[in-house]
Amino acid sequence: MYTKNDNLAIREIENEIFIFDRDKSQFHTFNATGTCIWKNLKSNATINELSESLMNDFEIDKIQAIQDTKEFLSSLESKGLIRITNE
Amino acid sequence: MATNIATFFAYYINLSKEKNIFYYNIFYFKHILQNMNITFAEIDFEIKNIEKCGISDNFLYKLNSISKILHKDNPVKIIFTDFPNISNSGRNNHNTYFENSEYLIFKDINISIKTNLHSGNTIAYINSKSKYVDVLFIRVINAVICIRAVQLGGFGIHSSAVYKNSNAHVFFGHSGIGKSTIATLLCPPYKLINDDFNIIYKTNNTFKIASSPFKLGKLLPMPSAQDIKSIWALKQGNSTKKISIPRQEMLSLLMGSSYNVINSKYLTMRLIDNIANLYSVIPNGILGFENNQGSASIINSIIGEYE
Repeated sequence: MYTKNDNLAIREIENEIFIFDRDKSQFHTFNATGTCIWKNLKSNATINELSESLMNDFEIDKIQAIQDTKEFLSSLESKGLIRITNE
Repeated sequence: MATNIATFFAYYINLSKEKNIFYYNIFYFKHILQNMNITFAEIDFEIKNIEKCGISDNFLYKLNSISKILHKDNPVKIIFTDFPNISNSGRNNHNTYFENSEYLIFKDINISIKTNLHSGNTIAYINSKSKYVDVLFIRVINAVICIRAVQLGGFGIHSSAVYKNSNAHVFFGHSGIGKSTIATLLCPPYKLINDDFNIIYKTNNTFKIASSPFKLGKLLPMPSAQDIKSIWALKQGNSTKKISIPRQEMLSLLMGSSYNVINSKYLTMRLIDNIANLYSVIPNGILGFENNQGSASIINSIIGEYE
């Protein structure tokens, strides 16, 4: 399960996500790939579902999409923007 | 002879016998922000028993000069009072805040601010027992002004700003980056708005800039708000030139120099929107500059393109 941090101020501006983490006073922006994953990141999303949205939007193969998705989710977690739990 | 606001408070607090030691109203930031030719200097101070304070005529004149704005809407009231059971000792580590769709409430051991996020109505209390009541006052005023600026499409920014023929240019960045230096290089032919902190706001689809009313605790004479023609992130180096950067990077830099009410998710989101809006309208970039008189003409030429 993915839980987005409650203290984030999130805005989407011209198809890019901008996030201000009020806990750490850090500003984050995502590229197009990251924005796609973030927008599809529901609490019960799966890696496969997220990867499929990448494959559809960016015409990349499944292996690459899964790798990109995992890396991005790991990055989000390490920055404290999401929490990943095994429920 | 009282010449600055800190001294002013010191006089007043020492001389007043009332429990509510100091009381005045500051009205109509909305009006200030929405009218292009009205500056933050024009704030209404209603001062009780002022004749007891031993204030200099010059300082009274300055206070009177900022008392021209009288509206019935959106009052900002600041009250100096004894905070019950509050000690000045110890660290200020008891901040609390609360936000719902209507209000933002902030409180620490010396300050309490309650703002209606939509109307802008604000009431603030400052602990008159604090040794640093003047600092608290400036902190509250800046917070109130910056909150109103965000509500009205702008934001407060750590920056210097200069103007000529109503065309203003803004230079921002962290302390020591050269905000004052660049203002000195450009004045004259430009005139200084403020070399440390300014307020950006939007009126009639135009971004304006006005000086923050305070610098180093002193009230300053201030020019009217000016139209922003360009905004630059400063970077000192060994050449003077403009450098284009991606939107993400510029927004991040602007965010880093802006006054953000972190306690409020609503205001933070509005701030991001306002910064993005400014970016899309006002020419911008990094201004690399060399700190010498020779670079003044190059900077003049760069910013002059946008007038």
